[in-house]
Amino acid sequence: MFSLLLPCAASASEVRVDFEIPTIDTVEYHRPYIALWIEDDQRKQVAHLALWLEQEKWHRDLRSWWRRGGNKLALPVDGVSGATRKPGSYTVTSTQVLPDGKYTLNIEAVREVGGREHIKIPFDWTSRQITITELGSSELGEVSLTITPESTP
Amino acid sequence: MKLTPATLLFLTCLLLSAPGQAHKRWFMPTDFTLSDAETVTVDFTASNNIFYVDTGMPLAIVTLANPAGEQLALANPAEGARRSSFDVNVDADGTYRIAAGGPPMYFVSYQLPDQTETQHARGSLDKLKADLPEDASAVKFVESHSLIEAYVTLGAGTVPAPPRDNTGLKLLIKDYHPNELYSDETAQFSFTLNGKPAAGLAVVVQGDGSRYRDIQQEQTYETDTSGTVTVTWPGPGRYLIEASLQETLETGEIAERYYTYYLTLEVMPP
Repeated sequence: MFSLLLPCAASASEVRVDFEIPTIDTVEYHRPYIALWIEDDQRKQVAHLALWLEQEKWHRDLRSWWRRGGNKLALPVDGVSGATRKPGSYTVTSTQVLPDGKYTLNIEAVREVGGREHIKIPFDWTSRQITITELGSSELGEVSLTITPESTP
Repeated sequence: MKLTPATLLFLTCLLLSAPGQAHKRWFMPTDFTLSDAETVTVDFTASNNIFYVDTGMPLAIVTLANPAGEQLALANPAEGARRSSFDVNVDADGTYRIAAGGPPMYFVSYQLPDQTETQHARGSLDKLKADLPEDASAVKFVESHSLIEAYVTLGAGTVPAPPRDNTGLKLLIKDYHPNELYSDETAQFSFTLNGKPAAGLAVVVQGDGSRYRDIQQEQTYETDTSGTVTVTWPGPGRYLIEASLQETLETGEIAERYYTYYLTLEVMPP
């Protein structure tokens, strides 16, 4: 509630995440469950960008997402949750309005009879354009975050 | 062995659409080695999380033999949703053999003229053949055999009498006993296929706790010409050994045959 009473700069920007689900050559392949979200500096989830899931039974295996708020989230979430996808390159975009500050983009992938990978990309939300790229090592390929401030009239 | 329709349905559901996508199935006894007579409780489940029970398996396919090779009834059998379990009263010196086999299962895939997707069905071979649509093409029948085992020993290990039926994939106990494994020693496991050494067999060794790590941490071995792998243990603990083989058959109505074997083990610290 305090934040509503205090002067606090909030701005709207387009958040774009490009990421890759790598092709994995294995006898038994299942598509990974993917969670893509933004946490504030208190590790609180402030935005869910994408949730690609199947059976609810295994949602908890996205264990960082689950721990940080996934367990409280009512599904489905319009425009966010959906079915798992096959290996390939994907782009998720959304417009977010956030107070200036420090945040972390999180992407977590977990695959049945496979592995789990969680990539965190810290960033500053300051009405400036940024692009940050990280490289996954097992369940994720390249992950790229681009923040583009919406032009103010 | 009696297999009710419900049991068969259950088994085929576990195998999903293709034998290569079947869930891991395993026994987990409370004890692998004993120094005094004791009741051992055995869990039986299908789960890809090692060793975290998930789906109870039917006890009708379980056989239990004492060190003399006599078949014993399962004590206190219970078929639960997440695991089935039973007791074994281990009171004779030597090695008890717990096994679940069952008859082979059959799958069919085929194309229909008005459908782009491949059609799948499973069931008995007779029923699959009887139900096959007349206009089906690219028909492929697959036969799947599996055997799940665990051994429990009172005192020193003995070699259980081999299964009467040597068809399919079997463990051959020779120089190394499955209940006398230590993390400071390697161990050898030998397999036979239809009674002959199973060369070129893929053997996957996976330790406990897959739920609590980010990787499956599997070791994969291939059997030599004598059907043997030499396993180096990453450390003490409980392990699942999975051996599997796929045969492509050139003649006859079965196009492919799958064999799967599971063995649960305990490796002691030195």
